[in-house]
Amino acid sequence: MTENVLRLLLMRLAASVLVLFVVLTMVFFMSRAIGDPASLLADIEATAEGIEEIKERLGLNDPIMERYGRFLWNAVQLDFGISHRSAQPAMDEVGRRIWNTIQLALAALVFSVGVGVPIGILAAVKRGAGIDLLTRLFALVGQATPSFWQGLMLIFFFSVGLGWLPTSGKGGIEHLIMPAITLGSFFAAGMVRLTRSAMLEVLSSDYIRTARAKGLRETTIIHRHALRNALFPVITILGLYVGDMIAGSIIIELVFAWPGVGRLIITSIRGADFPVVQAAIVVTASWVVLANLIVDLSYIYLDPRVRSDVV
Amino acid sequence: MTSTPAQVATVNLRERRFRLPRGWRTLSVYLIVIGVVIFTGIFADLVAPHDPGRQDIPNRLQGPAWQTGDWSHVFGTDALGRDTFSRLIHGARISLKVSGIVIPAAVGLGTILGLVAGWRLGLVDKAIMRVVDIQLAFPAILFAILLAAITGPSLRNVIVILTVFLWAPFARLARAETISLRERDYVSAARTIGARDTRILARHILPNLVNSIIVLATLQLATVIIAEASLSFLGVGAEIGTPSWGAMVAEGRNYLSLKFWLVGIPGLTIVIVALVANLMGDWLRDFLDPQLRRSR
Repeated sequence: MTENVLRLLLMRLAASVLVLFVVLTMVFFMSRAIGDPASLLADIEATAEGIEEIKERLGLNDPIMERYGRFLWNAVQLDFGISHRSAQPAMDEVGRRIWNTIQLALAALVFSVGVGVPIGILAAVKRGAGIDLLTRLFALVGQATPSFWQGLMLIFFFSVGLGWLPTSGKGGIEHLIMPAITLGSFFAAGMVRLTRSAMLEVLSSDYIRTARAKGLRETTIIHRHALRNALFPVITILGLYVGDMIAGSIIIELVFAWPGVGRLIITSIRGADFPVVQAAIVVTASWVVLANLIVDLSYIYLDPRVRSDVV
Repeated sequence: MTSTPAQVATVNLRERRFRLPRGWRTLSVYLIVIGVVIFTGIFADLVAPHDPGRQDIPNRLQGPAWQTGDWSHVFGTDALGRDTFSRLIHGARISLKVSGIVIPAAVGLGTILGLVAGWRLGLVDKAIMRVVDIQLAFPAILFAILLAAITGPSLRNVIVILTVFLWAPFARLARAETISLRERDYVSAARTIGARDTRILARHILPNLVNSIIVLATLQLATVIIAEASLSFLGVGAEIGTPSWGAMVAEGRNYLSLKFWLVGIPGLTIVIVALVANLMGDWLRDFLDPQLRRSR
């Protein structure tokens, strides 16, 4: 048994490393296609010899596989070169903003769980009632609404119209509310659906019928018996959401001018600041991979069936 | 109040003759909405009252017709004086083009690889499924951005990226169903009489997959439309100046507080089309594939 678990752990770990390797490889070869970094670095009046000199200094004349190897080696040490714009290490630029992105993703996660799970439970318990239909309507519309537009609508109503919340930027907690809601609501809709269906499944199971037959009160049944089992799939799906949220935050950060990694990627692309783009993409991908890995591991830990089953 | 059985029967008959069954009536509503989008997309040049790219600076930022009374610009004009209604219609063409290429390509690629994986099993299956796993762990948007940074934004990029990232769910579906079907008696029988693999897959396995694939493809339609709009909103999707719905929202953003409709109208269009596509997917799922509903 434990041997099996260990093997599974190693498999998952290897898969994550493989994904990161593929990401790095794609970033390297795709960004070589952008053209010549030396001519981007050199100033306008640089001569052909000047550019050649920069190339030589940066090692751009070396064979491609050698450069690829060097890129991987540097990337493992979190070194992606110097930002063209700020003349600081690209990784520092990313590091300064990653906390903002994580903060946003966590706030969105709290929102989606805090809203999605209770509503999902309520919809399942009062199946077919007004609240159930209402939540299904909300979930349907929520899934059809692009997050960037939802964000702009929130700004329009709560900032421009009512003046309750700041339109954008970073500051106190009030700056976090709308971005977190926008990022979280798509996932909240998924959370509602998941909780509802898990809860319905549990509520129709034999042991709940037994509990009812014993004459327990409905609230006791729901809290003590149903909830624990219903929340299991919800918890395991959370980690997947963390990954999606970090990727989804790119759009949200742009809408709300939130100074995170996503916005850094977009502004760096516009400024042709490629080392920063590379570093930011690799860091974001790493977070997504890490989140997925944690889910896999928690699955192995929480669900004994997986241990013997897969692979 | 009380009616004789004969009366009830005639009433029912009449209803049956003149109306579609309830479920089919809702479907026809969805089909009309999608049909309008497809029609306007294909015949955008004929339907649109104005050239979507024609600028008319003196008449810029004109309000919609119910504010100005000028029905030549039903939804007003944008910051460059371009007609919003005509741009919306041409935007339908872009959504249509992207989903019309991405969905069939993703379905084709995913189904074939899923069939092969589920049929051959073993190493082939492991390899394909590992690619699917990696794929699903990849943040697609990052690569769309990276690709756009290299080649400049273009619709071709959007189509390539979305296809590359959307085939995986189809492969999963096709593989799972193939595995559940491959040991059926009629498949064994076909094998016994010496049918080739391609024939078994095409004649005996694939027909059983068609329903689920149609359902999944319809449900992915909204995903594709929203993804294209999101990428165009970020400026890494359709070429600059293209009347993509997402790009229209991005262009109207600076006027959000004063010219609300510039953001409101294209956004609402996306929501309605995506909503109807999803509703149609749900309807088809209930109709064609009740099992899928249970397993989701």
